[in-house]
Amino acid sequence: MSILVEQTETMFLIHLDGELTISIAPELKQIILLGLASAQTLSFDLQDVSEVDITTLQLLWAAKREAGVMGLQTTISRQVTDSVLSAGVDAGFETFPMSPK
Amino acid sequence: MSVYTDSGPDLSMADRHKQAFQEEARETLVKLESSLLELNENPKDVELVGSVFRALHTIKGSGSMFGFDQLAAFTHNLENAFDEVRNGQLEVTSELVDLSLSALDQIKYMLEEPADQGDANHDKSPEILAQLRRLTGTAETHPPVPASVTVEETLSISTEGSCEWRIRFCPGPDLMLNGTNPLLLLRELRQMGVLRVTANMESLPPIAEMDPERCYVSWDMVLTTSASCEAIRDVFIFVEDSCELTIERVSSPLEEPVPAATRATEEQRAGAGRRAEDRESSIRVPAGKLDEFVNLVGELVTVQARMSELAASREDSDLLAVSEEIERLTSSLRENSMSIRMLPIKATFERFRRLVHDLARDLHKDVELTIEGAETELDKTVIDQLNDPLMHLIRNSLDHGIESPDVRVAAGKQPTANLRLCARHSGASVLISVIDDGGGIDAAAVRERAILKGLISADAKITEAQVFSLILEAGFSTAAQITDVSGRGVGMDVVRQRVEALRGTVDISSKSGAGTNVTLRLPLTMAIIDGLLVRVGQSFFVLPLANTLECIELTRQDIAKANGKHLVNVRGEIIPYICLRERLNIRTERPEREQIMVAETDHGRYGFVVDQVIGDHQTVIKHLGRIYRDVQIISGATILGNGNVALILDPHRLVQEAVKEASMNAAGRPRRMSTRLVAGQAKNAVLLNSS
Repeated sequence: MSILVEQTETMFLIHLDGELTISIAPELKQIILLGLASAQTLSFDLQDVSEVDITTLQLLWAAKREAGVMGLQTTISRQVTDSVLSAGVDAGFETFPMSPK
Repeated sequence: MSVYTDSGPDLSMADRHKQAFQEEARETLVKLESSLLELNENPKDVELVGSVFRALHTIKGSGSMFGFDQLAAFTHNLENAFDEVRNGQLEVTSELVDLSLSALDQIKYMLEEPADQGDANHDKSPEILAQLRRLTGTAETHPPVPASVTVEETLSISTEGSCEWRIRFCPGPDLMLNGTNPLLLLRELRQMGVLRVTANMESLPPIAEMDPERCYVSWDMVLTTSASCEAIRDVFIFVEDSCELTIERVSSPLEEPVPAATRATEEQRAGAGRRAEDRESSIRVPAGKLDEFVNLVGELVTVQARMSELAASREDSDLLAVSEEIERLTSSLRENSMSIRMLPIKATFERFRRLVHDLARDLHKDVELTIEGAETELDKTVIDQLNDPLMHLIRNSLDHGIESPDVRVAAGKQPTANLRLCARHSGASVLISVIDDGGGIDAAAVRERAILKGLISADAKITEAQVFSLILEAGFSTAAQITDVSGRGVGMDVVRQRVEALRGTVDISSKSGAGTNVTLRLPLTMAIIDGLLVRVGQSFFVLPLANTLECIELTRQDIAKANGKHLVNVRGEIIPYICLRERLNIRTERPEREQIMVAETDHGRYGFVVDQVIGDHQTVIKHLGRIYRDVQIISGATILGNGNVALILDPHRLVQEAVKEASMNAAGRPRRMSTRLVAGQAKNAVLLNSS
């Protein structure tokens, strides 16, 4: 799995691929904090993600909540596989923490 | 530990869970209403927005879990609106708050599962949803169907012989570090039947404080399956020691429920974080069981009193020691059982925020409600009866007392009026006051009205307090116009009746131009009091100890000094007294020396003359029944250790009646017959009611 960051004038985009599990959670948290500090729209590219677990879901949920408090937007930039979307629902969220555009 | 009571009779397990959800939802709605009203004043308060969102989320999730699908779907839309507020996409405006309050009314209606649900006259949901869509600029949304369970899968899952299981799964924070993936556990449960899952994120801290490898999520689930409890528990077999797991059968063909709980070990529970520490444990108890328990404690107190008397009469030190120990334990048990019935008045007070908000809006007045003493506790029975009287008082205050902003400014006042709801303890009573800074009561208008209604004569000499108390008479209203809010002259009479039914009193004070204070004095508890046992002739009586100040001797000499008037000099203070022998028509020989119990009453300090003061007595109050309901001076009876019955006197009513009679005598009206009450008749009433 890998995490890449792309920053534009208006957006802080985090590219993720592979399996998003507990092993990358600490790194993902630090990057999300950087994204929130940028005061830009925080966007996640999950198109190439094959699997997520609870640590990722709760990080995404926390990111969305924190961004809301700071008055920032959070989005998912591209399509997400059904299996990844359903992980959120399986975990008892009504929808995936963020809505795909 | 909190104890919530509900009034359900014997119900199936499923009905009990549903009822528990309904009660919890009602409590959540009350808090939600308060939060919304507060948000109206502080629209930028992020914490409040968060708490509103979480409350809606809880109602929606739990509603869905217990079959309130329409309610869940409706709440989902309001939750979405507040999600947009949280994300900064929507602002909190008065329009949003008013709409949300209307939505809460609709949720309350749906919660009661009315038979006419869907009836256009009562179902406002389409209207509310349309307004919500206009505000948020979105389409109506519904809670999504879980993507991982297709229709085919649903049909293929057999529900024959199925039961519903309620599962609460709270992983320890280190669960994932041990290699466990909770998602897999949830998916395994799904394979066993139809699963409804709600994730609880309440323990999730701000992201900067998060340990990203810890699990902060817990789950509430309802699983419909034919699998056994053991099979369900087996899903968690490898994580049982590192989580809090509760599996309860919700519905079953069998009568007895089989709850199965697994608790985390002590060290893991200690590390479980805010979630376990902050949650106050509580259980719901049917009100009938609580009443039965208090009744049994009362019986125990009576039997203990008999034992104490027997032990004292026999010269057996061992028996005396045991009796004293039993008395100590009984006293503790009594205090505990009384405290279980005591609830803070906060919930009742908070309910009125909405009333004040809506009334002020309808009457075009600015009113700020202040609540003081919300944590004051009183008996549940008393609290249940207070809603209507307080509502009447608040309506009267807003309609008749508080002026419009223009009038207030012209009178040199702030345009925003202040309405205070206060509660505090006072001895064995609790005082609940409704205080406003409005125009006050026009005593002259009240007097004129009372004369017109024939309540007093034109030349009656009465104090201002007595004038104000005339407002409590039936049909009395000085309102020039009857509004929808009040003015029919029914409300204050209802207030007086309800308060008097609780053995309480209503006191009104007012200052023209400054405001009005209506105070209800109510007993703390209706079940057991600390009393003072006294004797008059061969009859026994109990006076509430909380009112009693001191006991002094009354001799024939003292009576002669007062020239036959019922007055006594106590350290320079002249105190009037009531001779209970005369009052209760007890025709036995009067002793040379009597005792005066000096007590604090609503009319000041009064004395009550008795033959003998026997001592303290824990008094279990037995009601005399309907036949004696008009005998106001007797608040009940109790059974003594020797089996005799003692009547419990109400000192306030004794004085009130005496004062009233004296006024009538002074006005030249015929004297009322004094109450004849024989202890033997009352004893029969008590024994009949106890059987």
